[in-house]
Amino acid sequence: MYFKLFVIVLNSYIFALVIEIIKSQNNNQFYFNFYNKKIKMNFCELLSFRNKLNAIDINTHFYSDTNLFGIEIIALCNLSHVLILETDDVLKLKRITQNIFATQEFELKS
Amino acid sequence: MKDLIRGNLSINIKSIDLLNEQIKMEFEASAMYLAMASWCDQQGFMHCANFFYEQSNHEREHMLKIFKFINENGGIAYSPIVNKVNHEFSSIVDVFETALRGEIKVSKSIHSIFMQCRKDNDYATEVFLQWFVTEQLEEEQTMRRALQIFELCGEGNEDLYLADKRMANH
Repeated sequence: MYFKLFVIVLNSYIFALVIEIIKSQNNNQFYFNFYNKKIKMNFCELLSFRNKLNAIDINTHFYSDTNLFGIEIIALCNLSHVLILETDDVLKLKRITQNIFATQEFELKS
Repeated sequence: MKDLIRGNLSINIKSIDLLNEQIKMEFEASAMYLAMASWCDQQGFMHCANFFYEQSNHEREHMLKIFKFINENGGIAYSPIVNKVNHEFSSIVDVFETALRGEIKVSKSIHSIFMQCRKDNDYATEVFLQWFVTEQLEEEQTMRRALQIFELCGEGNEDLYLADKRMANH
């Protein structure tokens, strides 16, 4: 388990820029860059992606026998894309989507 | 980024997550009442069975109300999974005690979502939930009164028959 944590931290530095979600300047679309695979998403698809990520219990990657290899398979955009995610991908994406929607909470509170 | 999110969502994202949990709870309540209706039917409590069939429908309507509210305000509502439902009860009093405990649990859940909406300044969801707060008072009162009917009657078959008959007007 500690080796796995070390690999995750190392990968976070090496692959810091290859997972990102950016908003289009011209229209109401998001572009998801996943290791140079570009996926276009509308808001609803982004929300669905966020909910699927939130449903992943990351503890099963470390403390359980049910997901020994730490792999998650997620279908996106009405089954037009399939992502195979490792533990560090899941952690990164959870953080990215949390940050995207945290701006809404800030706006409502201010 | 925040303009696009606010443009698509009329309510807070945290409220949506909590309401999806509440959908599951209402659906589980509906399934629980169906199990109770089945038990009452088997034990010969005809009017109690009808009462619980209706309660099951009510809970499903509550669930649909929340479901539509989420979808109408930009969120995604999820059709819930029901875990194992209990079909074993020791007596008709046990049935109504379980039902009352279930309603109190739902009330507490509604109140905690309400509190969270207040903290997050989600006024729209707070107003939506006011109906549920009032409705839960009625649900608890209904179960409490029904429980009292069976606690006060005797344990003989004729007493139980008469108490069940009273449930037709409940």
